[in-house]
Amino acid sequence: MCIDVKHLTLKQGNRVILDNINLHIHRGEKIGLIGPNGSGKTTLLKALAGLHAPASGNILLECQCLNSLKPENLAKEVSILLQDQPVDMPLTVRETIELASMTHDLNASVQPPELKTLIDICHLAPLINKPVSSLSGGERQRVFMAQALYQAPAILMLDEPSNHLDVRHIWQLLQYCSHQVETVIASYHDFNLATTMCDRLILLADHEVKADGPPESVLTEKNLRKFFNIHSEKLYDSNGSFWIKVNGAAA
Amino acid sequence: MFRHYSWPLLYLAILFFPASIIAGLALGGVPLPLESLLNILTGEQNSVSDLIITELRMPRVLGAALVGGALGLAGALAQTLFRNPLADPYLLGVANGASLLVVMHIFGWSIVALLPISLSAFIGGLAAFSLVWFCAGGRKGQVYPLTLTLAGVAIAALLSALTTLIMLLGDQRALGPALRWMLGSLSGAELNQLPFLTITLVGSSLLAWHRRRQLDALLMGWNKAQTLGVNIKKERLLWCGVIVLLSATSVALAGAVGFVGLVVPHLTRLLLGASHRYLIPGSVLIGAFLLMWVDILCRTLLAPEELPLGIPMALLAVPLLLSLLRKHHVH
Repeated sequence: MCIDVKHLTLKQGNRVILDNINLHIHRGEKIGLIGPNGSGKTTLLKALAGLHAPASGNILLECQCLNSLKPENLAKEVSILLQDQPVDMPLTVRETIELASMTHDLNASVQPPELKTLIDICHLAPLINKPVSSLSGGERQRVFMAQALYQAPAILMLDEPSNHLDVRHIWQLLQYCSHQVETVIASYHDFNLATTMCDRLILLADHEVKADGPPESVLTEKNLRKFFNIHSEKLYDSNGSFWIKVNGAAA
Repeated sequence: MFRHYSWPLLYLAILFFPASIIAGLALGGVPLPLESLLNILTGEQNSVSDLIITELRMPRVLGAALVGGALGLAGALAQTLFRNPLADPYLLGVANGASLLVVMHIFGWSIVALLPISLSAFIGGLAAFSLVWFCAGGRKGQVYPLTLTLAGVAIAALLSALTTLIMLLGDQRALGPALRWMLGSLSGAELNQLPFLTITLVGSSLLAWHRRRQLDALLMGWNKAQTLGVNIKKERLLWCGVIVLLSATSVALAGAVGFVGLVVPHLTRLLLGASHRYLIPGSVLIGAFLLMWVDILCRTLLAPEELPLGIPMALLAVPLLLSLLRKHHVH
């Protein structure tokens, strides 16, 4: 399932967030959205999930205009883990995850994962009958990630998925998402996490797409200095993989 | 602590329902022995007792069950739709709109005085909701929980002020009946008023049951619910409509009985859980039980005088609301 973004402008009230951007997202890509605070990562994800109406332009999902899709049909293809999870959700963990079965299509080629498998992967077994409102931030994040996965989408969108999660859970869950879902689009603040999880990065800044391509070509020292105001260097290991070392704020 | 026994508790409630109805028929200003009650119900005639049962108590008991069930369900739906534990079905202006037109009827104002009181209440409730919906941005399709709440509060305040003005300027002899209506009473209930409320309650309950998963999704917020395929525009208009219909038909029969819609959903969640597969049948049953027994209390406590329904309801609501407040402080 591919996504086409054509001349898209997104606004928050009268304030322009993203102006006239164009993107093509291919099936099977693992994409990372990076950018300074306020650059429009969350707004773009919400727009791609049908939660934020464009001020102008179009978003096409497999050549169909997103706005013309009924919510129940869109939910069969796209699921999103939002940045802010509802803290007062009174249902239990099991009831909350099972809500995603509303989107299940018995005729779909991709069948949803087993609920028990998801619960085990997300380490939710001890919490299964507790109300979500009684959980910590990290536990809630895992519940809603499990719910997003239980939707069995073709495209999974994650808004800052590492929020509240400890190191073990971040790697385990994000790798599971990458293997389980065909196309993943996620926003990251952690460059090294983005480099490991994604084969393509899109850098958003000043209302535009400033860079789009493999992580090595996007995370240049020049781009990091210009858009994030930091001094950095790339360090390589023997396999040719790299990570970003931040040396301090730029003047 | 009872959540593991949700379904058995519901079945138990259904089993005890006939017992509550019999108690409602037997108890009152004129207590009727159980034996004579059973004789009447099996067809044997006793003119005075028969009149009390069929003309006075049967409409009251059934009316209490229906109004209690309707307001309980409407309250549960309002708290889900608005994601606000203090939401009650009157948040959309229904009670204040109904009160205004009923007061106009009682005080003999304009054409409203010519309409039956229950019809005045119904029309007033629907008109008030239309105004709230319009003010909340309904025409542009941009309605959110906060805008609906604020519009509801604002319109309710306006209608309340107008109602008070009419009561101040009007014939003070009509003040008693007006206040009694506003506090809620089933003393004027008649059997021919019940079918419409019955159809409304049964239809709304079946619809809510059919869409219980969409309602569960709404507990996460409108944005999050939409990501699971819930059509928010359709759902919010549908449930606002259901809440208003349930409230308006209840108010038309029993007056503006307060706190039922606020308290019953909380009691239900406490006993059975927050999922709508328990909340829907639980709110209807517990609402029905609660108002039936409150009505019995109203007509027996100070017999032959009768208390308005709103007074014992308010007294019951206070400890529950304080315990909710305490629970939130602890968290």
